Amino acid sequence: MEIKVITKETFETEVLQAKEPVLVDFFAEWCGPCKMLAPILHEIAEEKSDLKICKLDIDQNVDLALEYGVQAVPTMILFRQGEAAQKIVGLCSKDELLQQLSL
Amino acid sequence: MEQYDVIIIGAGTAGLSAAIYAARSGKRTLVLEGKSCGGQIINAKAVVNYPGIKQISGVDFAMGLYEQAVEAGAKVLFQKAVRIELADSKKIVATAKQNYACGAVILAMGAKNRPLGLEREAELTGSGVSYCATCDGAFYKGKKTAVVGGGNTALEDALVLSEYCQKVTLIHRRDSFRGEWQTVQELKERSNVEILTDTVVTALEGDRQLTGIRVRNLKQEKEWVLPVHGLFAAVGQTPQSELVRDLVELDDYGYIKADESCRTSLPGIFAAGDCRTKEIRQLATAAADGVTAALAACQLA
Repeated sequence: MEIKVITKETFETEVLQAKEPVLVDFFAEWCGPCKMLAPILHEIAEEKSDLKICKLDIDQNVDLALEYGVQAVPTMILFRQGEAAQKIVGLCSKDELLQQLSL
Repeated sequence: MEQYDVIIIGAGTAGLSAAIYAARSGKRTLVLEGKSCGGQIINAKAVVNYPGIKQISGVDFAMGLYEQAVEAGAKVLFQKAVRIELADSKKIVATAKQNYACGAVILAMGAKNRPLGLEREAELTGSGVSYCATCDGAFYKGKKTAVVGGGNTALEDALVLSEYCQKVTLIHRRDSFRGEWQTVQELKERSNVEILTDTVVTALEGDRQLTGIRVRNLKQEKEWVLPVHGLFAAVGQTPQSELVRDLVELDDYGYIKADESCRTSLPGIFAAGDCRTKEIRQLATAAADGVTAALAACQLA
C-alpha cells in the first residue's frame, strides 16, 4: 500500500475511522533520522497489504503532535480502531520495528 | 532462489557506492542492510571534506547515495545477512527471510563504535551512556557531561557538547591527545571545558539513569566520582566482520584482509570501506573502495 501524507484535516477519516491498523509516522522535514526511516517504511508498506502507513508533518500539525504526546521525531504510533495502541520513538531497523509492533 | 550478479552487504558509503557502479555496469545488484542505510556518516552533522561537495549533512549525503543507487537500478532490501555459503562458482547469501545467489559478494559491513568495557555499560546505553555526541548531545542541554577518548572524534564531541552543556569534562588515559592540536587549543579556551589527562573511567554510577562516573588518575593514583548526566565514549571502532569470521582472513583486530584492489582471501569475495584493513578510513576512501570492489566484482559476475 502506498504511504499517504496526511494532515489534521484528513487525520480523522484516514486514521481514526480506518478499519485496518494504521501506522502514523510523525516526522519533520528537518529531521535526519526521519529521512533514514522513510525507505524502511516504504519497504514495509510494499510488503504488508493489511497495514496502512501514513506520514504526518509535526510542524504543519502541531496540535495533533501535542495531543499524541510526540516529543521527538520520528515517532511512530500504531492506531487500532481509532485508538493509539503502540508508540515507537526514534530510528530503528525494520526487524525491530516489526517486532515491536508485533506485525 | 533469487539470482543476482553482485550482492553487497551493508548500505553505508562503501556499499552504496559499489551498488551505483555495479548497477550502472548493467549487473543485477542487490544491497542487503540490517539497520538503516547510510552507515556511520548519518551521524555527521556536516560533511565538509568530501571532494567536490563544500558542505552537506551526513543524512543528506547518505540519502543521496541511496537514491542514486536505487535510480541506477540496484535493489536495496532491509534484511540482515546472516550467512554466506559457497556453492560451486556461486555464492549464496542468506538472510532470516530467504536465500539469494550471486556471482560475487562485496562485504561492506563497516565498523561500529567500541565500548569502554565498563560494568553495566550496555544497560545504561541510551540512559546516559552514548557513542554519538552529534546524535544524542541535545538531550543533555544545560547538563554536565563527559567525553572519553583522545582522537579527533573525542575532541570534536567535546567541542560540540560545550556549545550547550553546562560543563564538559574530557577524559583521556594518556597525557597528550592524538587529535588535532588546533581543536585541543580551542577546548582549552572554553570556560566550561575541563580536561583530565592520565585519567580513566572505572565505573558507572546511577540506578536506571547515569548520575556520575568514577574516574581514576593513573599518575596520582587518585579516584573520585564525577557527577555527570551524559557520558560520551569516543574510543575508536571495531569492525563488523562476524559474518565472515570463518570464511575469509581477518587481521588481529578483526578487519577483513584485502589490499587496495579490495580482493579478500577468497576469490569472488571483496571487502570495501571501514571493515577492510586499511590506513585511512574517510568518507572518500570508503566511496573509492566501493568503486574499486564493484568494478572488480563486475569482471567476475
